[in-house]
Amino acid sequence: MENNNETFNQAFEKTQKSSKKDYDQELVNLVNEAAEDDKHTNITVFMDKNILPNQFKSLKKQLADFKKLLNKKGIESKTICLIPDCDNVHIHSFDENKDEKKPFARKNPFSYNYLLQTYIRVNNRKHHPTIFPEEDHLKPVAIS
Amino acid sequence: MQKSEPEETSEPQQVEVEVQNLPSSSTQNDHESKHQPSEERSEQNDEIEDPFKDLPLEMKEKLKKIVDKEVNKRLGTNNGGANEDEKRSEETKRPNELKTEEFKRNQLLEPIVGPNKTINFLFAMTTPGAGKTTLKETLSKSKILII
Repeated sequence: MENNNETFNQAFEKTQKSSKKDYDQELVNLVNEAAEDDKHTNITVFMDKNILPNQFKSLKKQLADFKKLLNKKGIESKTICLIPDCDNVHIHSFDENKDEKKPFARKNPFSYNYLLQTYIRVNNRKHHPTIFPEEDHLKPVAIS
Repeated sequence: MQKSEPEETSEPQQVEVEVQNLPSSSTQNDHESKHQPSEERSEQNDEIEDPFKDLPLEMKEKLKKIVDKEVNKRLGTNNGGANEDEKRSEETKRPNELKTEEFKRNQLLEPIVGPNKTINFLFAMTTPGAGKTTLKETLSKSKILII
């Protein structure tokens, strides 16, 4: 962190937009690199980040663009989405509603049990590249 | 999801009690299951709840194989009698490291490996703590190139 007066959260919020842009650019670079790789026939691009349901739409569009691009080069592409195997998914309801006309609800592929398990795992985790131990660990687990 | 005090969920045992009233039935987390003694696991093998129940399907299968392999390795040849156990026993008897690696890889990635050049995009609709990094580390050890 350049500015020592900023908290981790402030710095995170400040750099969120630009970091997404950087991430997307890095992903494009990796796909290009994979497309030009002549030594390997099967390449897996693992996106090591949490894709929440509300972020899926933009990713889907991005992947469709990659597919078109790769098809033109005669390369097949497949997408696999890993989703927790939860028996009892639930619907989150929020009182907050931007237009205040309809009750706001969103279905998530997670169960309460899953959320608790992941929370415990995150809470017990001592080392992580981006999440500091002293941070509120429930925050990144929360579904927005 | 509302914030709650961290201490409410810091004790796994306390969480289990709370979860019992919720629709989901599996209350044992995988962290606990991985540290359960292998002897105890083998005795309870048909009775305990699936500790990987709420993990992503591919990850679940992968973790199950790793745990089963470790259990079978410690116990020696598995002669449980059930078809599934016999099948697993045959897999873990393979002495060749390469074959084991191939087996592991195929379990997870068979559907996405094709004869033509293919780029596979793998991502997870998960929250932190689901085991993505563990999965990535496992995949990195396979012969599939990950960039």
